[in-house]
Amino acid sequence: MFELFDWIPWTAPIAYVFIGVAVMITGLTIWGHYRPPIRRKGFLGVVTDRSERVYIAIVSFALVMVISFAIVDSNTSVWAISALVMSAGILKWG
Amino acid sequence: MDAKKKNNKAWFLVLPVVFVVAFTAIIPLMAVANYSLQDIQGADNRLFVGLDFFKRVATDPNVQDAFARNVTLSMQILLIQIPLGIFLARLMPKSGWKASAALVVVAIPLIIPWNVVGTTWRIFTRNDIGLGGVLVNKFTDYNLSESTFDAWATILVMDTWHWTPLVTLLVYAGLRSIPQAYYQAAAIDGASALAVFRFVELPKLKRVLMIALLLRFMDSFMMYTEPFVVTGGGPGSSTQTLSILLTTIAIGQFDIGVAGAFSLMYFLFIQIFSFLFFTVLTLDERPGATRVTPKEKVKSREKVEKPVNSKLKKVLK
Amino acid sequence: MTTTIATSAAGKKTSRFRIDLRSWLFWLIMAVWALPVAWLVSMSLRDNADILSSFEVIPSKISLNSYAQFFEDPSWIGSYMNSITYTLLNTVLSLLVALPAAYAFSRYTFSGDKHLFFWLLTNRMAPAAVFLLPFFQLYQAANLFDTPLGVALAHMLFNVPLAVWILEGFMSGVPKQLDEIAEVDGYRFGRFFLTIFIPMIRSGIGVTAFFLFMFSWVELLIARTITATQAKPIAAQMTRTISASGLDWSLLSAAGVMTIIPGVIVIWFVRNYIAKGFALGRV
Repeated sequence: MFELFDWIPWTAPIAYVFIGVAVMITGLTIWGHYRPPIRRKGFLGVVTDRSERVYIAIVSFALVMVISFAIVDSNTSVWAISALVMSAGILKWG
Repeated sequence: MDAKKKNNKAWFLVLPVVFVVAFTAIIPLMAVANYSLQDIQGADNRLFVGLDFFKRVATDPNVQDAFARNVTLSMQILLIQIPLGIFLARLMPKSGWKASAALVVVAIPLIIPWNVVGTTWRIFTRNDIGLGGVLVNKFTDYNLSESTFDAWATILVMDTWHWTPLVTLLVYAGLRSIPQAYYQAAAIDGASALAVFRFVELPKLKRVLMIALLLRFMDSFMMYTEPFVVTGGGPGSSTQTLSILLTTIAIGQFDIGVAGAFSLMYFLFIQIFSFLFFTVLTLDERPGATRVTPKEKVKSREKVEKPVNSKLKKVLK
Repeated sequence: MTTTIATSAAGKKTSRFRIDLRSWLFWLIMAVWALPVAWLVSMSLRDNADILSSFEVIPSKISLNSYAQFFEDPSWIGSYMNSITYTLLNTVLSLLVALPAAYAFSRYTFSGDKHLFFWLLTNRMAPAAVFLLPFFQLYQAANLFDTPLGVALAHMLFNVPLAVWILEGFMSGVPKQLDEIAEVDGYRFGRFFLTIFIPMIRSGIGVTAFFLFMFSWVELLIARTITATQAKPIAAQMTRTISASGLDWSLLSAAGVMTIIPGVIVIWFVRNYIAKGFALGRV
């Protein structure tokens, strides 16, 4: 079992990301079990539930980051902060 | 149909699938993510470079060109194949042995291995021994290893030949689900063929066409084998798709870090398209299409209990 | 009243004529569509020297040498058998894991079911090129490199989601009352599933098997990456010939024709279900 993972040249950030995703999915599942998610329609114009908004927020964040990478000499941290704000907006009002 | 039962033991039935797909999808994804952050020279010689590779790939003109090229190709493919597929499906015989024969004939390009599709067209379009190449050369100069236009046109024609049958089969299946009474009603009203298509068939085909559109877009967005065999991405890089470029970087140059960053960004776009695909497919089963104010939250919680899949099932019947 | 009948009868006559014309047009287009494959067959029936020396639309000298060579040379027939082995293996394994999962999706709701379904779908859409490098290393780490089982497993990446998707559609068409009646009658789940439920959806299983076979059979990139010599697929054998100098067009064509045959056989068996499977929109 273990040798399926240890050929990967692990780096700390990626390990944290995958652990974070696993924790997040588990958390959302437990949360959803005790408090079923509310499906609603926000400014995105589509009916979504809690986990779908989380997914949309993460994907949008990544998309904004990729766009910033494509801009020469862009300031990554400025972009990251604005993308975070946008993602938070999607989580709250999406 | 009655509602589905809530039963978390169903997870045990799903577990084998989760394990298999996790093995073939998540572990590789972990590896790709790790490649993308470091410059790996050898087993013990790894240098953490952060997001450098992402920036390098995103600003690389080759990648940007391949991306633009791939989007253009996909758009052209959709513009040609969707109308052609509808046209063919409406011509297909509707019953009897002819219908069976037509189905088999139409489906044949779909079951040919992708590299054999490439080989078939490579032979067919050759100037010396290929029927197509020789014929076209009688009218105009045709050489796909030198002319950018010829290479592009060949890829387009080949893909149309290969994948229009998928659109045709989908539309054909959609057409057969339209009750005969609709046509009779239209005939009594004296509707023209165009009106029948516009007001009887098109509304019924909406869902199937949406599927065809998105499937064709996704598949053409990751096209690799056929252009690789026919043109090898050339002449120059005029028919190089994103997948061909990525494979060249990963396997050809063995530039693991760059390939990893490339893969992740490619994967992101696929995620976005998949989500759009999924959302569009489930659009009409998403209940509670109104904005919810806190007071109404209790109400909408009841809506959650509704069978979300019931509409889909009605469609499938 | 009488006028309506008269016009509808007249309408029928013209429409029958039109349908005939349309049917002719359809078969004409199909004939054009068949040209590239017909050309491939014609190339495979001529010797390479003959192909290169003269251009003939209808071959004058038919020779089966290339096919003989295909069946005699172990690297050709061997890789052909490899492809068939891993494709069948993939079809069986995918069905085995997908059947219970599709049943779960069609009969129950459970925490995270829709998200799981979506995640499976994204794997059907993922480009093979993204997974190439890690696949190479992963299958070596798991001791599955260059084995038919390894390729079968790798192809499950896109085939299992597909199988779950199609099967769920067919299973949802079977009324749930059937399950309840069986339970009242004292059937254990396993026995009910194997002896009653599966036979009921056998046409759905047939369609699914067809699509699984087809998508595994046509794939090249992954199969080529995680094999070397022992489990080399026929597709890889063909591309390796392409990069070598001095091409044997005749042999290449014969191999191409051979790869079309299994698909045609399978398609013939499931021809009546194909449209239905596609209609589910789940390919």
